[in-house]
Amino acid sequence: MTANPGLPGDREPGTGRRLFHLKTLFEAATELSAPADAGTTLRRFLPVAMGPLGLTFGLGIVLGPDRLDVESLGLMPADRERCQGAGAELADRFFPEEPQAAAPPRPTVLTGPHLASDPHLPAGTSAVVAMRLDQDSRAVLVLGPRLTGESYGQDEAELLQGLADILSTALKRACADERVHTLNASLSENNDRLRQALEHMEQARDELDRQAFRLRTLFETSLELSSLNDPRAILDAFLLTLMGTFGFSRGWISLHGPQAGQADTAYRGPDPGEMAAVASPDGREKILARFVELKDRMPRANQAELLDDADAVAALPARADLAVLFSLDQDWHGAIGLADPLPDQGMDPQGVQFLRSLLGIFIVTLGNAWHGRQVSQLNTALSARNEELQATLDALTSAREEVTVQTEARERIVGLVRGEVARAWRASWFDACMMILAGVVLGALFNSASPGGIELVPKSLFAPPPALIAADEARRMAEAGEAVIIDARPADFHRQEAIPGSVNLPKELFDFVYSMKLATLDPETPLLVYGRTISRHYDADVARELKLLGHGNVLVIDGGLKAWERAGYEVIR
Amino acid sequence: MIELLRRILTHPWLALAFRLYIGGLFVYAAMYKINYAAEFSETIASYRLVPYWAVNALAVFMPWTEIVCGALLILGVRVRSAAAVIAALLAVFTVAIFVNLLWDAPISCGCFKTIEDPISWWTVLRDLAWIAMTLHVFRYDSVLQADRLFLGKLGRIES
Repeated sequence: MTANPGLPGDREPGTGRRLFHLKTLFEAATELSAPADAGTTLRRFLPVAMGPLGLTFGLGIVLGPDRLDVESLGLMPADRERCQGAGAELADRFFPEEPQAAAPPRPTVLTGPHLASDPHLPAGTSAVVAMRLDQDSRAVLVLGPRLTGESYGQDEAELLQGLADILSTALKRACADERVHTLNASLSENNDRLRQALEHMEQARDELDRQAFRLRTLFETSLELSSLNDPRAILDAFLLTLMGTFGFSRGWISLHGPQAGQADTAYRGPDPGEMAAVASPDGREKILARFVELKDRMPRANQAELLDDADAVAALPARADLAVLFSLDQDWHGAIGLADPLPDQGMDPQGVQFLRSLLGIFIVTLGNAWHGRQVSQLNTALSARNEELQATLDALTSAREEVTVQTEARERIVGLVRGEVARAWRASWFDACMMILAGVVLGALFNSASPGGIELVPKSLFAPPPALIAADEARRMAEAGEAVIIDARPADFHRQEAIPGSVNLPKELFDFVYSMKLATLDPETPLLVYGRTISRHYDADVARELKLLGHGNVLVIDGGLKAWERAGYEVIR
Repeated sequence: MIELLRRILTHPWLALAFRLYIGGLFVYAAMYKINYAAEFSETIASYRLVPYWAVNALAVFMPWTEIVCGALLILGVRVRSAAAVIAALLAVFTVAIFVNLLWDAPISCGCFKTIEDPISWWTVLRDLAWIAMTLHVFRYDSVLQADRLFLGKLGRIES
């Protein structure tokens, strides 16, 4: 800070002073070249500036949006306190509002005697330098009176301006450094935050992966279980899902009905005895006992409850590290046991929630399948009953048809009976014909069997017609005594009316009368027979008998007694 | 009096008496004719109303028809039908006798035996009386009938 003894002393005073000022400026620049904050820069600057200028005190104020640095040298303590308290206000007096976008101007140096008496400035202030550091920060340098008491000359003013420029530059750099530092700190902080955010993101992604895995597992489980209809297959599939999802190497599921022996079980593990124990009535009793122990937490219909009591888990019929009780409805209860977990397979709360979700799907699916089986069984029973009903209906239909047939038959029989009964009361052609027919049949039978039976049809009907003789020729022969007239009618008719001289020879007395009256007659004597009615051909019959006795000339009078009478011949009565 | 007479004349028991009488009469009359069919055929022929080819058959069948109808009357079976047949036979007999009376035929009735008194108007009246009895049976007979005994319950069958 002193004059360089190496320099020639015979230089002009102005040149030496200028050199001194340059050295001062160089020293100030050198002193302020090291990076430092604004306060340190001020502290370094004040001695460098006050010495060459011969100032009694110096005061520097740096004002920013969130900072206020006040540094002083040689200032009385009271003034120092006052200036520190009013630093911001003091600085604002020298910086009217300016457009923010404007570039920071060079430092403004104010000198003059009026500053010494400014009440807002320390007493004796000889110069004030105002500097805008950036858009938000500014600085004020207050310089005290010179020891010499002189005002600033041209050289001093230039020196002061140069020092102000150096200080302004240093402060700007300090502010920039601080800002850079602040930015670095902020960046570091942001980096830390980003790192934390990345970690959180990684965790969230892992969690999302787990959630996605669980959701996919839920979906696949729901899909797989819903495709199954057999409750036992659902138990097996769900057990495999649980063991695979939660990392267990052994597991079992048992579902028991209201009656002992109604059990569906699934088991995966090395010990077949555990499966038998789970399905046994004793296993059922043990599982139902766990339900009772849960009391208020007992799972109701279509609910599941995680068994968190180690003693209760140990009391189950098979080994389990994780156990669940569930109810299908009021009567069907079941339990799930998982054992031998794989390493690093803990069960966090979200895993428990996931297990509950799986259980929900399992119970719903199992309930549907179980009800489906119930419906199927009911359908089977209904089909059987339908077949029975159909058989009954067929039997009823057949019976009805049979009843109808029987009714019709009964009506017909009743009608016949009534007809017969009614016919019995009245006269009917049928009955009359039947009586006559009975008489015909009985008569024919009796007549054929009786020794006194007669010919139903007379032989004369089929006999050759007899030889005939006319009534007049017969009368002539009779009157000439050439022939004998024979009356073949019964005696009563002969007695009533007859041809005179005729011999009565009825067929029923043929042998007797013939032997009495005609036995001695010449067989060649013509015999003239008459006597015929609608009912009897007496003449033909007697003529046939006479021929049998050897009479060769037997003639029948044509027309009989009526022809005789029509001819007007005599008859006797 | 008339009512009493009418009740008596229409009484079923009177019809029963007529039924038994007519039935027994026909059974009795038929017994002889059955055993002496040849004589009966001559009797039929003496009436001169039946064609000669049917006389023998009629002599064989008619007595059995009479005995069947008489037996049915006695038993009370198909009374009305039997009475109708007997009435028809009696009517035929009466007409035959009537015709032969007109012809003045010297024949006997032949109703019971071959040799009887000749037919007369009394014979016609007798046959008419028998016809009246038969019609009475046809109209009023209702007691002691085998049909009613056996078929009466059947008639009460409800449909």
